[in-house]
Amino acid sequence: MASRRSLRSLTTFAVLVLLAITLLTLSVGTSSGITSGLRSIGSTVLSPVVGVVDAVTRPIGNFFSGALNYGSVTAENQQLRAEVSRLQQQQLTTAYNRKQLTQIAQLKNLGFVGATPTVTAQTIDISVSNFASSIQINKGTSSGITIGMPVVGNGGLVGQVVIVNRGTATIRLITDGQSKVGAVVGTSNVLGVVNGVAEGRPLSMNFVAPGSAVPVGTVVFTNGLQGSLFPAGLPIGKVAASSSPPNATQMDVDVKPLANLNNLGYVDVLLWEPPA
Amino acid sequence: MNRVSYLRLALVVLVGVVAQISIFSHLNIDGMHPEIIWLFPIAAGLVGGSQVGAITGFGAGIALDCLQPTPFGLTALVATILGFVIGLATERNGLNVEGAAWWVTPALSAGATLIAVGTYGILGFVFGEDQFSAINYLVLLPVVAVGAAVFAIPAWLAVSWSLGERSGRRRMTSEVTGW
Repeated sequence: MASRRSLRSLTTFAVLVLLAITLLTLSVGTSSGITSGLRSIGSTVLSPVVGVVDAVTRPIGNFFSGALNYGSVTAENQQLRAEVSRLQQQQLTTAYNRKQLTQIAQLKNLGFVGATPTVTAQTIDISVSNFASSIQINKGTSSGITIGMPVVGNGGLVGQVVIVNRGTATIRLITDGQSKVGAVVGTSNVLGVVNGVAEGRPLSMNFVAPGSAVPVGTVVFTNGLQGSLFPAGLPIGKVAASSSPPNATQMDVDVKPLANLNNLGYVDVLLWEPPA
Repeated sequence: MNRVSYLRLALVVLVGVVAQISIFSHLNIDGMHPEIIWLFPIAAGLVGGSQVGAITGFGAGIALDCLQPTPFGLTALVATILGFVIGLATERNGLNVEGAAWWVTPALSAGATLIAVGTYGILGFVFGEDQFSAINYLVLLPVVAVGAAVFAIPAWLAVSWSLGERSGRRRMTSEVTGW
């Protein structure tokens, strides 16, 4: 009787482990339709419950956080008001520049992010896992968001949508180790791939040919090359350090993200999908 | 175990997953937060044995995997192994927290959680998640161990209730109060 129970227990264990390994294998490295579908279903079922609990617990947390940091909140508010005024001025100039760029892009048959519609969303959660850098936003498929769409905010590229359900979406930040963005240094032809390392660490730009001109302080943009996961022209960060070790096959380039990823109140999701 | 027990256990696990995402994920300690999700397969293994431990681990893990941008199935895999091993130890080697000192369950849970988080990091690295090697484990491991020790007894009581092990509640009460 006991051995029969042990056998049943062992069989259950083996089946569950095989199932977990199968799901894991399907999900690693690719955005498998099966695991994405399962994740969407699970997320759709669980997210409303999480949302209700969040709605109850968040104001309590915010109240205590606001009370403890009243001085800095007031100072930040004044700073933000000044920033808004400055941005309103900039917007007028940018609108003119954007129009010109769109016309040039159309003439050259190039994709330009300025013409891409966006959805503005509020950040409702930060990293839910110790092992991933991510945020959650309050917009989902009902706003036209799908997996793979780029997300910008705070002056630069923020990340990419990796989980989405009807009302929320999870964004993998560019600092996450799984993030890989095709990039170009400034207006040069120096290409590479910007990889995340870990939260709080600079990004690493790989595959840059030794001896390339990569001045510190230069802005790095998405390159939008064929098959790229991001459209061209999104600012990623500034070169923080670059060196070309002797006999190395590539340069060591550190990139500091332009967007302040620790303070993402609102972000814009670009309604742009990578080419199939 | 009957159907009602499984339903109650599912409810307890669901509450645990929601608490992990909504509350514990916001307890930021030097960039890390406690992971109470491992406590459910541990408690289920201790109370219900290897099969219940494995099923609880898989359910809790897959639910959490749906809400995290980590490899889908990794939490489920580690939690299934964790629940099964704890359950097997309970069944075969006489690992039994019944009648043990009050600190045994928290200590056991903290140790098992440390092993689970370490295994999670190693397996993630094996499956190609290179960034798992860049995690600050010197901060993460103490945070998850202390978190597990603190919340081990509530999790154990909840799982005991769901599986109909009411004696657990009485015994724990007498251990804590000394009556």
